[in-house]
Amino acid sequence: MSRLLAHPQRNSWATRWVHLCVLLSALFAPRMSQAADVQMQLSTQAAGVGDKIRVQAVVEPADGEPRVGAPKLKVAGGARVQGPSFGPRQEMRLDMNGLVTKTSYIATWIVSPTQEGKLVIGPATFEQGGKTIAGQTIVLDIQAQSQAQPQRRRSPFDFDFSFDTALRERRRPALEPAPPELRAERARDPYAFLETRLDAREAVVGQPLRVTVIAYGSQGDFGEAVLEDLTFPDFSSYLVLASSEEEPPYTQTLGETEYVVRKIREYILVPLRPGRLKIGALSGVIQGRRQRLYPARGHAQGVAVRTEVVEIEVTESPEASRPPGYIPGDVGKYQLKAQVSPRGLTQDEYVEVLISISGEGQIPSGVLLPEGKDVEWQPPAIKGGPEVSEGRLQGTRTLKYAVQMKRAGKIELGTVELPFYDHEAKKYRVARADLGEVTVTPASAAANQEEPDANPKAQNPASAAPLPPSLPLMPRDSLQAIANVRRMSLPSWTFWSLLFAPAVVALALGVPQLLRGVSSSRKSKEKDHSKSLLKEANQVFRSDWQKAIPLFERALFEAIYSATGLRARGVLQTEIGRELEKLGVDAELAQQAQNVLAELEGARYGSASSEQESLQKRVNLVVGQMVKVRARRGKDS
Amino acid sequence: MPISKSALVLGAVFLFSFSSSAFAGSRSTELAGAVQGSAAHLTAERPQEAIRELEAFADSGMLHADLSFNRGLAYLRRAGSAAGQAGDYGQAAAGFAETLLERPDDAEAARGLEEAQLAVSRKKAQGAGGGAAVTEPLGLFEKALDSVSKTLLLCLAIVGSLLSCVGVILRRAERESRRTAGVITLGVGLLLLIPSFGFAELRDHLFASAEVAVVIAPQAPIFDAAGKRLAQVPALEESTVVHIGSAQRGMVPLVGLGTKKWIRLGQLRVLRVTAH
Repeated sequence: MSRLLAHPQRNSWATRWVHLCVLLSALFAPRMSQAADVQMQLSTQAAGVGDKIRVQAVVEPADGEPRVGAPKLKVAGGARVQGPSFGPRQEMRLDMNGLVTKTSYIATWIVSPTQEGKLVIGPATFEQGGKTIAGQTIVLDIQAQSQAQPQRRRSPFDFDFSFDTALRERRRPALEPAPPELRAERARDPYAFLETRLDAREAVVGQPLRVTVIAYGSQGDFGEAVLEDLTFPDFSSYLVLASSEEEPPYTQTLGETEYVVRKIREYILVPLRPGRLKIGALSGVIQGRRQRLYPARGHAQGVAVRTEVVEIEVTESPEASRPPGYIPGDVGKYQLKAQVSPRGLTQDEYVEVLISISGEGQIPSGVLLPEGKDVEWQPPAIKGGPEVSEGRLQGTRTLKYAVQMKRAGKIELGTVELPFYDHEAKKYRVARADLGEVTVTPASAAANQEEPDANPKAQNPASAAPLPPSLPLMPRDSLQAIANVRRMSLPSWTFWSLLFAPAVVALALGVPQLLRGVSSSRKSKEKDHSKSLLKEANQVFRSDWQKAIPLFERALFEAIYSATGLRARGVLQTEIGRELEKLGVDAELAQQAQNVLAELEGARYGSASSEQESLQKRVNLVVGQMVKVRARRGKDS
Repeated sequence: MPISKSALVLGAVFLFSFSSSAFAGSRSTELAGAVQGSAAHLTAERPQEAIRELEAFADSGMLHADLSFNRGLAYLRRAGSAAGQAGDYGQAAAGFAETLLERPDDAEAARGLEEAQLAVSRKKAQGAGGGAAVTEPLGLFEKALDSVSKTLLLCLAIVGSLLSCVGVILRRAERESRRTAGVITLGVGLLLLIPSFGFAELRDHLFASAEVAVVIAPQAPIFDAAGKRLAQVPALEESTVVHIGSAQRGMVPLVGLGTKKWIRLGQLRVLRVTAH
């Protein structure tokens, strides 16, 4: 091209062609830049109102191109846009040319839809060297409800370190499509829902029915926690499937959403009565199996789900062509087998007749016995019953009869019959088992011959003659007196008082002794106190009369108190003698005590030494007398 | 002539006692009529009508042991017929158990209760679940507490207390032999007193304020205090007699020591007896 431009005159057509190319490239360059340079990425393609969509636009300018700036994002439709956060990112790559640094520019917005419907995001545009470059436009269908998945809380035992949910989902082995009996017609909830399936909406009493609860979850594989199980008050129920752990998951697409499908409960029910019978609802919670994929909706642990109450019309089996002896409720498909042993016995002895009823259904517990006056049938011992096997209610019930032979000879036991209603064929059938004959030896002949018994057990019948049935309960037609049963009602403190009585007795005995001990110890202390005060006073008297006076007074007051209990300090000096007399002190001693106290009071203001000595002696005398009074009184008490 | 206050009071008392006795008289007539009517229905093999009448009487508070008996019998007969409904055996057991509460020595009611419970066991045995246990889920200790009579405990406590008191007194004697005898007597007394006190208090704690109820649902699952089903504890079968505490939010606790077990109140029939 450069050579052509250098010589324009040589080829004018070439020049025009070049100009045209340049013009075209100038015209289309921005668009080509759009498609190639701006990469748009969204954090999710499924969003609802209120969700946060992370929009990232990445520009990788070529070498030498100017920097990129001014990011903008166009959003058409109801949404709030936050951002952008914008900045360069540098990468170092090793290629043929060595270590190469590449710079790219990333702008990120957070778009939060505010209304349902179409949301057009983009194009994101940048300014580069005066030009505008743009990315592509992305259209999202915004749902009314949030489509956000809760943050994955990593379990320490979760060894899947992949942070990409889509990658994790791709790694999960593909599930089989759900079989027709598990497919739902429509999605009743965008996250999870339950459906109850009944294999018939009309049935006869005794007809086995299958009820299945199927769960559908759109957030990946799930487990269920059942809060309230199905209830069948009018049915006998047999559990077939207790939880979804026992069944494989499937997948079904409903609308645009792929659901994981699991059977979570299955029962076989047998209606017990005619009428419009109900099967109660099952309520539970759908949770992610290992990760918290299911949001908390209606329950803290996941999506709360509930089945509807299902009704079924149950009638009696048709009366037309009902065989005689048919017992309502004997519905299913049955075969009879019979064994009789021994075949030879003596008159009045018993044979054992074993009748096996096997088949599908609830297995009847009675059969029609052949009539005959030569035999007497005892009530049977019944064993066995139906169970769920290979997903069907089937089994074997054994009836063991003891039959007494009343006469000798060959006795034809007859045929045992079981009329039942085959609900699938919708007709009555009769199962039969022929019992054959037995040879009965007369009782008198048995005394002369020994007939070998095929079955020694026949000597002792397997089932003894039953006890006569007890008389039926009869209604009461008059009121009988109710004895006024004296119920033991004791006050609540009775046992407590008995428990604490010994402690009370111990306390009662211990208190006086305790008091006596306290009193004697107090009195002995008082005695010591007045004496010790006197002793101290006498010692001080030798050196200082004035200091000794209050000590003598204290000693005397203490002695008076110890002897009589009188606090003489609070009594008028002139009344002390009288008070002491009232307390039983000798009149002379009482007067002496009063006089001594008066003299001690007067001595404070000075007295001759001879008077001091005399006073000291008299104080000692009075204190000594008071001590004796105290001692005397202590002995008397 | 003015009427004195005392005359007015006397008149009011007379009127009250007259109306009370008249009320009592009319009530007993009603009861007699009820029992006769229900007996007539049962004799004529109309258990449904008998049930309807007897339930109406029970709802209106007319309680009597014989009415309860007839009600139990009506349910038992209906359960064995084509018109039987789920829960009939449980209701039958409730009627007989109510009779036994008022008349513990009623042999017929005891037999009726046994028949209802046996029928449940038999029905369960015919199904896939094997036999049904219809005994109250009490531990061995609780059963022992329920069975021991309060009179016996009181006697033991009295004897124990007396012996302890004597022991305390003897311990203060001067002679050594008497003090030794006192220690032994006190020990024996405490051995009798403390356990009998403990048993009596525990018995009162468990059963004094408990009510008796019967399970009338085909199965009553057991829950913990938080309302979570205890899968490891088997559900109670219809016609099981239980002791329960006070109801809370539609659930009642089963009497027993240890962790409380709860059951839905709607699956029980609480027995009521005539107030004495």
